[in-house]
Amino acid sequence: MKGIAVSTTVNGDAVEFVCDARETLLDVLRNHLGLTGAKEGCGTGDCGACSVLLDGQLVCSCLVLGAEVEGREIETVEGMADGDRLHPLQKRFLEHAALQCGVCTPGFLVAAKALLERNSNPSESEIRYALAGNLCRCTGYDKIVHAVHAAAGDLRRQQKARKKRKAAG
Amino acid sequence: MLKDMMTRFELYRPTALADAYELIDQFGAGAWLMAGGQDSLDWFKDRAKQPRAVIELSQIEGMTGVRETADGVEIGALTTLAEIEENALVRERYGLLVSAASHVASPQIRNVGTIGGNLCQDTRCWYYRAGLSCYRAGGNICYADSPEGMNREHCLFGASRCVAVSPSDTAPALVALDASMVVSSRKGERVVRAERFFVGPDVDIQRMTALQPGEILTAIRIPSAFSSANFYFEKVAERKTWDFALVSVAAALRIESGTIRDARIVCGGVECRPRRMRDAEDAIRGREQNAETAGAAARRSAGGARPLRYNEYKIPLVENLVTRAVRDA
Amino acid sequence: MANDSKFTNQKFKLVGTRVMRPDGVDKVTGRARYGADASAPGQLVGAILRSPHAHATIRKIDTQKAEKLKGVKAVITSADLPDFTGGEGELYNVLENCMARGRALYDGHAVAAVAAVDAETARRALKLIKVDYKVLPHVTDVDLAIKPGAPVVQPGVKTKDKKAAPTNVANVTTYGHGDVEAGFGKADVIIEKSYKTEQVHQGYIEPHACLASVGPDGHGELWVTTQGPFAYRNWCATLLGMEMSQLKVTSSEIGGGFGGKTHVWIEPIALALSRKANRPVKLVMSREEVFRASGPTSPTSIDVRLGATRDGRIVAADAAMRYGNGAFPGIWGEVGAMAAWACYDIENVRSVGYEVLLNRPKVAAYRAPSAPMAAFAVESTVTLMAEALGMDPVEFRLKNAAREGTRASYGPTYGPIGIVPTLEAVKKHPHMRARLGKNQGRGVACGFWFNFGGQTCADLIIDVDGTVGLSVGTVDVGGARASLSLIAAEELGIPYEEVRCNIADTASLGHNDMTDGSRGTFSSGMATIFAARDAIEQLRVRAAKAWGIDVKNVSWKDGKAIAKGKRKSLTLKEIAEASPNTGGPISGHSQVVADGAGVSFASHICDVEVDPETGGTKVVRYTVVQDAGKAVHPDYVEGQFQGGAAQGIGWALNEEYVYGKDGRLQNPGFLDYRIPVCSDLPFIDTQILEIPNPNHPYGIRGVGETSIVPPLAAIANAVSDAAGVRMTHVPMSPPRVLAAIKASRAEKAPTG
Repeated sequence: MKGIAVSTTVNGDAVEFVCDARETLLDVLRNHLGLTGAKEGCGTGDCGACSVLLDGQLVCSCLVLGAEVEGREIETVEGMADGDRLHPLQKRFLEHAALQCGVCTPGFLVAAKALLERNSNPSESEIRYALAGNLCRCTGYDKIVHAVHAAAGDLRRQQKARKKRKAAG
Repeated sequence: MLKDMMTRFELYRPTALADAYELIDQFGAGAWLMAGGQDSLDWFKDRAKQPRAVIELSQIEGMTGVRETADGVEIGALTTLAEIEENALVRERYGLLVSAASHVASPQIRNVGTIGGNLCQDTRCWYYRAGLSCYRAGGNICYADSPEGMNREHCLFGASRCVAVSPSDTAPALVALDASMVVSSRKGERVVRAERFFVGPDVDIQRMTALQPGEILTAIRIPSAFSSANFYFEKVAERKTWDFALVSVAAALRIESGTIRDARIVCGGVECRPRRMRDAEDAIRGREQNAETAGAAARRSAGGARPLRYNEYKIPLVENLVTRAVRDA
Repeated sequence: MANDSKFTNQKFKLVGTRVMRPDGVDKVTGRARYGADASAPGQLVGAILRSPHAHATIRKIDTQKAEKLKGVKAVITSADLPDFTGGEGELYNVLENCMARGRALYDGHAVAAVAAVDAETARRALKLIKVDYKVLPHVTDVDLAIKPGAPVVQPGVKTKDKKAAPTNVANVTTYGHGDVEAGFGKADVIIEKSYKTEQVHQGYIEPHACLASVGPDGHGELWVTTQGPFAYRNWCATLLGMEMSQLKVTSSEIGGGFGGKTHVWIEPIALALSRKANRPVKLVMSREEVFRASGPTSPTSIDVRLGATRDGRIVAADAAMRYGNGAFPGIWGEVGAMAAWACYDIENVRSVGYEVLLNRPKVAAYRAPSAPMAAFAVESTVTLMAEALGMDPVEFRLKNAAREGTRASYGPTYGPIGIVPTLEAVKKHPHMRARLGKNQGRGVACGFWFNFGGQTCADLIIDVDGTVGLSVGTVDVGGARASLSLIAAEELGIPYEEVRCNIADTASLGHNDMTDGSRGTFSSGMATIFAARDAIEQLRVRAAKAWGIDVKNVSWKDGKAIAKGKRKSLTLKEIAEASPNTGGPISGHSQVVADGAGVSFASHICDVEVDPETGGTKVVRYTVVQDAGKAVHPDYVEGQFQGGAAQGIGWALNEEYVYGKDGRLQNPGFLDYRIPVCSDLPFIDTQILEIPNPNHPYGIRGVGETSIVPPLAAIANAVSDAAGVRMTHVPMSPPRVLAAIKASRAEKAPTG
């Protein structure tokens, strides 16, 4: 098997791996890099459980080839928390009981993060459409939408506080 | 190994069109052109397509982005659907395409999937995608049109041995906008009007576009004729989001003081190519835009439809969608 | 006292609060390990060859070429799984379902399996296995299967009831009481209607996955996503001829089950491969395999007859319920027949369940299995009757609802139950007064589920620092660890944060039945209370010892031992710290058959908007009212209500197995099998009622399942209200609704 050598950045760390042309980014993350947070629910891009950010864009890692991430930046659920400080989305998912079995949760968190980076104050409908590529079979999405909405507020407040500090400093 | 293993292939990432042509020549029928890959990987994982060489086009310069031209805009074929949704120029002038692009699949897929890939994707007929040896796959039977076939998603018009439909959401919009496709090959460039770019099984049963071996769709040009016209797009699917159309309608109407001066109405999901509703268009040109005119269009939209066993519901669906398009555009 | 399960009506400090779940951080950071997330040194990859035919005799399987392929370490067929079951009964069916034995009974039936060094080699090996099939006629439709002359799925299966159709009906069961025909004789209005529901799948996002390891010493370990590690252990050990104690099963985090992970599919195969190869084997189903070859719920065909008097009293009810069981006999029609009329107090009532064999996968439980289809037929007819009588559908239901003391159609006499309170709550709910827009309609429906208890065992250990470890054997499918920790903390009188709940493997705790039947929190909650009480006994003994007084004079209150009549007290922490010198470790234990799971009722309100020009239906508002007995953790109770409703909405509107006439499943993927996405649903309002279960110390009833029962009918009633067409076939997909509207208009149009 002829391997393809790939250099990339995963959650801020420089990473090198060798993969087969046929291996997807999801295969690489789970089988080569030991990052099993992204899940394979279907392998066809239908469920979103394998969602990661690729150069800041939300993608299904099962539909991207490992070789295609050369020189790009990947962010997975494992990179969301800042050290021991959970991301506001992670906190709000817990507080709002927005997960039951939790297997879709990594994908939802990443998808919600992609949304909030683009739109800091999304409406209910914008949240719902932004998460339409992620299947959850446990919650009926109700508490997920509430959690994302609350986390959006947190992030806006954080932003404001940061600006204030800057102005004061 | 969740989906089936993809069969072995070599991955090439050319940085220039010339290199891509070279590779196509080298591998012939064993070559597969991949844009965003959102449909390609599905085919490979199903092992229904087993290319020897996958030529991934994203590294080729000049194939992305939206440029203003003397007569409209030109969109690089590798522009993602998400980029089209967000492009200010397209939003301002061609809301119809924005609307169609935003109805494709899921946010994840629109972020990677390209307009070129969306236009060139193969049909969703589940017999064909299951890898069965049907007419389209080089065999001598159509499973969907057999007495046993499950064909609620198949065509009303233009059947010719094969009854598959065009799955693209953006194709009907581009036909309605009278767009043209820029097709490049070693021999140079040719420009094909969208309406002729998509072909039915009577023309070529194994391909859904006019692309010949060795040709690459590099750009889409949209003329100004229907810039900022009155648009209507609607897609009816089993699931309201993240699904393929049962029937869709894309319409561009030029309306001056309440009178329809020109109209292009196109339906998806009813034929192997986007279907232009010419009779309906003829019926409304020069008439006032109102319910009565819409009704006249509807009455002329399903003529010649030949429903299969399970898809008769598409006839009222086409009529109702054309009604809305004319009434509400 | 220790094992007294009577409701105590105590005031709670912790139970009923919305605390954070203990397994939460792992699940939002990607650390939680699910079925496919484990690996072992030297592990092989397993893969399964499946029948492409709906029904065939397997004349020969040639595995020689596959065995010779470099990197292949084991190839198995049914010959490697000798029959230890005695050749009949459910266990034999499980064995044959895991691996075909001379005949393939459905599209996707496992035929052979390989273990190889990597996935590609395994896949290539499968291609080298030659199976000689003789294709047989097949049947996949419930109504066609019972017609004379239909292909027979299981020639060995005989119907008990000789009067019934002889071929594919594996069993007929009848429930009810009174004289049904005489009852219809008294009726002023009789409504008869037939209904059909398509087969649906639980649709858990995590496919079946396991990591099996069996050595030549006969000892084995299995890491697996399951709702019941003990049941899996018992099945796998029996099917493989192993001693149960020699097989340790550890449940991974579970990525959804809903009943679908109460049955073994790939696990015995993984173990057999591992045993043959003497290497660990990881086996993961593809999504396509999940759809084709795990256990969806029944497709059904149901006839209902309902008779009432003008004053709105139901006097007779009858239902014939044909449930597809897949290729092996089950109890699904019987469960449907039991659940059908459970909401009502009816003098003359009957339901007959038929177990129909089909060339489809072996049906497994799906959340309140069999009840949603029964409710679809019954609750649609009940609304039709209310309309025919000119009565409000809620009033009509209230007038006929079961109450405490009512004899249920399936036999027992009810204790305190929640059907009337849920209907009263619906009546008062603001949702019922909200104005409907154009093309909108409203539907109401009720639902019932039995709930189960069963064998349960729990250990509670008190560490020397005074914190508590609770080990239970019921898998946590969505928040149970939080609820059980709350219960332990409540009982011991310590803060919630000081309890850590762990899901034990099969070698570390006594037998526990599966997390099914809405029994997790009910039964493990009961075992936790008893284990805590057991520990408190010991804590009191240690305190008495410290004080040198009789244990009789020591009581336990608010986390402290208190000496009678004196001011002194010892906290749990103090007693724990002293424990090494007062008699060693302190732990509580409990083993119980948790009887008395209280039955559960729900009433749902649904508003839909039907687009008459496209047939599309949008759920615009949805409210769930359900009795929880006692909501231990209200967030997760609401979550169960909302999740069940969402699954019901998918079932009602979009989801279905589509079999071609060739007997092959056409839509084994999440694109063509359409479960609702976020933008398909509104917020789902919930109202929790608490009518204590007298048979549980805290009044708890199971809450997991009932919420999926009413939606099919609630939506059908709403669609009917909105579009003026009565939908009798789910899913009510746009093509079906559009066709129904067209047919109804054609019917209403004046002729000539």
